[in-house]
Amino acid sequence: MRGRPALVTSYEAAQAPLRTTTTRVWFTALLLFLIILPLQLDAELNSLMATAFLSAIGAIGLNLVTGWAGQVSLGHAFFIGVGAYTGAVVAGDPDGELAGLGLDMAIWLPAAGLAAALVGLAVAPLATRLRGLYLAIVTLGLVFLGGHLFREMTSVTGGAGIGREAPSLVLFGVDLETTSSIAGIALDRPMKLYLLSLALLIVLALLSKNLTRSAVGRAFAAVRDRDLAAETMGVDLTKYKLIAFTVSSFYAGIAGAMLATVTGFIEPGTYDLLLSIQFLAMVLIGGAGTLVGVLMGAAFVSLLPRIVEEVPRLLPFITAESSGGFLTTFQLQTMIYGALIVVFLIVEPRGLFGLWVRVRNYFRAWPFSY
Amino acid sequence: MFHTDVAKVLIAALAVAGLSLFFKRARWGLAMRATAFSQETALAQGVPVGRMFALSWALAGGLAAIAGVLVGTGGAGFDQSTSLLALKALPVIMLGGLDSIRGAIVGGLLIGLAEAYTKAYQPEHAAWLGSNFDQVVPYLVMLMVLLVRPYGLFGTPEVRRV
Amino acid sequence: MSKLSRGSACVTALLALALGVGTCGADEDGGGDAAAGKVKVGAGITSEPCPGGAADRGCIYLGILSDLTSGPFAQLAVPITDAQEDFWKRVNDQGGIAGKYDVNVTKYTRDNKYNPQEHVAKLREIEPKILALAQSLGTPMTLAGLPLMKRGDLVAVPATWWSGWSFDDDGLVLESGYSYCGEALNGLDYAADEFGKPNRVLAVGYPGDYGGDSAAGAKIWGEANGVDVAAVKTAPNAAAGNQDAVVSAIKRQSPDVVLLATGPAEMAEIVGKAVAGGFTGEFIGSVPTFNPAVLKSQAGRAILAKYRFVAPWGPFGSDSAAHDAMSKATGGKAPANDGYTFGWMWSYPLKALLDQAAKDGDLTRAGVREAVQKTTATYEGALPDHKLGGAGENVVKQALIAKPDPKAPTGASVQKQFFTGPTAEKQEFTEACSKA
Repeated sequence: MRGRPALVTSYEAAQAPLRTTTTRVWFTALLLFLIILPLQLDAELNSLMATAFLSAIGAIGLNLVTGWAGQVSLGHAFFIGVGAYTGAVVAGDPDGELAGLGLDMAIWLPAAGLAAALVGLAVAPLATRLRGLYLAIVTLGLVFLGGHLFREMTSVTGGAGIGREAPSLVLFGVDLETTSSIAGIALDRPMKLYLLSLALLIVLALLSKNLTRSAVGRAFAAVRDRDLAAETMGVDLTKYKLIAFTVSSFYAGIAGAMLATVTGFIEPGTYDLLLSIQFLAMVLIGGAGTLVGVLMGAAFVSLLPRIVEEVPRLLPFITAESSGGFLTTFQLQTMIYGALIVVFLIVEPRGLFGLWVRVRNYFRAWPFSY
Repeated sequence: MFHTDVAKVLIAALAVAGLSLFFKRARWGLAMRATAFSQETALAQGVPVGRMFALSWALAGGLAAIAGVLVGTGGAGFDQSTSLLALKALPVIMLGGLDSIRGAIVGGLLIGLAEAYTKAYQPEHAAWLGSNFDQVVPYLVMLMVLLVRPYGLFGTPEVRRV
Repeated sequence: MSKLSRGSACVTALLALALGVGTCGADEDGGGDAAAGKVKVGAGITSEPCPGGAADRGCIYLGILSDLTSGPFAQLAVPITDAQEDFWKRVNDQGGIAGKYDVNVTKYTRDNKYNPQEHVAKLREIEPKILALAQSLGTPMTLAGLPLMKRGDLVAVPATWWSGWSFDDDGLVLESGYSYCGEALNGLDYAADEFGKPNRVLAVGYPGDYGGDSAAGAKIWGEANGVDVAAVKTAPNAAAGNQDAVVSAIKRQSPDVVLLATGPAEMAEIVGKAVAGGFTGEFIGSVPTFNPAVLKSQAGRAILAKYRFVAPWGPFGSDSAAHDAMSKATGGKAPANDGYTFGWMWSYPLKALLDQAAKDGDLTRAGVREAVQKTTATYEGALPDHKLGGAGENVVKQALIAKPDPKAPTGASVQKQFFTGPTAEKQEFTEACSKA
């Protein structure tokens, strides 16, 4: 309406991303910063940031099924593994000893997502039969079954302890593996991977935001809050649980295939319970059910190990060595991780997003405290 | 090490018997069962519910410690990764039903036996299933039973109201 | 204009802007180039001294990728790494490489957790900053890192004894001692000699290079000697829970000799349970199956009675200049286990290589790689000289047999000095015994 630009007249409009000028300005500033950042960081940190972006994609997927639709899924690592191995097989060397088709990234990336989505679709009927803790443990069983499958399918995965090469980054025929220069700036592989991951994250995050502000998202929320009531109101539980698992697995597949390319080598033992818990931590620490929260959670969990590595310089009794000293960095990192999950669930159940909201409200109302 | 294994079975049986006796006869055991049945009513009857939760955690920890000691003795020894054994408890309680001690015992025996038999005979007779298939068997058994009885063998179905 | 197209126009404008603006180039991190006299240098060498090193010498950085915390060989790997630190410290004390460079192996020590994915990730991290890898633990891990090493001309000392390293004609891997394959041949030759020719042999091992190579060697021996050899695959207890499947297989098949290629804890469990269950045959172990700690476990007595293991060189405290140097480095104290000896011995070829490359005046990665074909490694009396490189001409065959000995510094003493068994002697190695 003219003269009242901030008026919203629909739920979609109210939930739109970047609705106000402030958010748009800050978002563009953040985007600019993130685009220039890889040129300032070294290869190791660029790879770390790429990992953070790709983990965020996976976490968004888990958020859709656990945070939005309320279906507790500990099986995310399995779908990530399916995506990674589909990508590896579709992109792999056809003449090598392991299965491979030698195709381009434009094919293996969607294929990875679709394969994982199909598996998610196959698994979803479990959710219609089981609820809560039962579903959580059954999905946990899925991770173990999946791990066993990955270890035994040696022609695809190389076998336990041996592994195989991850998909290679050849997009539309352009080889992104080598260093090339654009307009005088040298872009090496980690930088290209960083920018690619950032682009993928932005696209997929916007898609998930659109999903959650549509009727499907509202149905998810209804299923999460009170599925019996939702059913009586006409929300088809089976259909929406299927959609939740399928979409979530699609995200997991994409994230899995891309995460594999960061190191360039994947081993079946990676897709275990610990990976599932890591993604669950991203969702819970960040704030289940919110997009921004999950992004913050993913960044936090991915960057925490690196930050903790710097700690030995500050605290003398923490050592970077493998033995000796009171505590090693590895142990400290694990402890911090666990403590944070507990603290967030008790003190701030809405996670980092809840903290952010408090800070933002404080400054909105400043200097009035209430 | 035959006598070690017999001792382990005896100790486990004693622990389970002690637990069952506790729930049947002891005042605190009865209070715990009341709390599990209906928290509000128990609270109204003067049962300190918070303390019951603490007690249940303590009992769980103690029983897990006994299990850990039994696993650690004998030839296998243990290291950090032995703690992952605790995860096997999850399919057992799912199989037995979340609120039933009898279910936990029956489930534990079922899954333990399934795993041991698979470990002994599967490499010979069904090698196509892969190596270390016995690690996966608890989850498969749990899955199959849950598909038929969604609340486990002895669990009480949850009554849900809007 | 709708929100979406306005947003996308914003983003494209920003990208163009960023690319144009982002010429605040990245600081190239990693080994600086330094012209140091007449020797060519490149990545991994700096003209600044090592942290804590001699002020008048430059620094060569070597990387270590080992299983330091959570993998199945962590107990061995920590002494291996300690030994390498002590070895290179001794080299520095004696003047460093060509008197011009100290060697630093601590700054780029990383934990690969015995996982190839972790290994490749850490390798990517340290590769731009090192000249060579002083240790790369695990055959699957080293193989996983090989493409990266090939691209970067990075040579590595493997902390494994896979038979395929002798046939690596890229000249990147500097192995020492025999392979698991040759070890199996020698071990079984010894068993036949000592206990009489067995009717049946069971080869137990982890999947992959270690157990696979050992089992392949056992099969070769069986074919050459007309003995029935069966193989049983197992896994570390972290994956398999316990070794009951192996013990039942031993009971069912009743071999005369059991060849073991597992970790020490698993070995102790198998030997203990089998002997307690009435098994009367002998156990021959591969060198990583022993750790003095097993003598204190429940299986200790069974191990003392029925278990021997094969070794590529004498244990700590043996008689040679190298062993004396080791004792001096630890101050006479026995290390936790013979991993110390392994780490020390494995470092000799790399030292010989660096000396040769410095002599040729080219300490770049490419120069070091080229020098491999010209280098002969010497071991200060612990082993005969070994020519590096080549594709199968320099396969080491000799071994010795060690027995558990509670009174020895690292729990084992030599039972039979260096020998090459008849089957091992006859065997022509033309390729890796097993795929990794």
